[in-house]
Amino acid sequence: MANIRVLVPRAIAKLKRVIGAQTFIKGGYVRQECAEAERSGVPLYDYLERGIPEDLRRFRDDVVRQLLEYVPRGGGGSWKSALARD
Amino acid sequence: MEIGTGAGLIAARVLKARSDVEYLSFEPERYLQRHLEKYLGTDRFKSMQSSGVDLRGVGSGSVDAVMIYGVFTVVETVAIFKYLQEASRVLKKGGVLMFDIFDTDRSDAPLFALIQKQVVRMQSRPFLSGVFMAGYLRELGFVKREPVPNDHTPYGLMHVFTRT
Repeated sequence: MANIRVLVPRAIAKLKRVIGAQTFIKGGYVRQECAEAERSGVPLYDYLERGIPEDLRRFRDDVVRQLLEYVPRGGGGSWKSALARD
Repeated sequence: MEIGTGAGLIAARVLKARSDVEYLSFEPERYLQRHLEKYLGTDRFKSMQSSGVDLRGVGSGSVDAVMIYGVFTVVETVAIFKYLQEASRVLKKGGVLMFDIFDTDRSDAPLFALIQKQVVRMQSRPFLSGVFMAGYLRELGFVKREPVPNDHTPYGLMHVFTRT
């Protein structure tokens, strides 16, 4: 009996931590921000841009630059043709 | 193509930077899909509701680039390999694959070690070694390129591979 009194609250506390972390990761926070952006009439990517730390923003810009270097100019495929294949 | 487009922080930049690029987005969250389509339009941007485990509908060898940013930090380890297999299938020869991952070979970034420890404890998930990943991708027909350096954020490098 004593074991149950100890183990159940511990299990519940652990479950709460896991669910909390998963909710944050899987979009609970983003969903809230998205609703805020909608209310402000701006896209979420612009809304979040303000809160991005400078280091992360610089990294993101480097990633985009690098990505575009690999995409052929004018010769890239369209999403319609990618979905139409196979 | 981006798998896990999220808020569209990369998609919006890419579409703004290059008018000749079309963007295929795989995002499991419907509300994000709708939101992005509202602001990015549906002419050069197409959003599919799915994760990267199954890119059904996308032709083999039909995509120039696959971007997976901030996704491998939250999906199950076994799913990562399915993502990579599907990316390998849909990429054209010479196409580029870019992804970031918590890399067990790298723990020098200031916040990296701390966050890595917390996430491992929270999710009980093994992290993958960058060396191991490179070996697996070589098996799938990828060649490793110079990664995009990242010294200040916890997500590690942006790994770059091209499909042969």
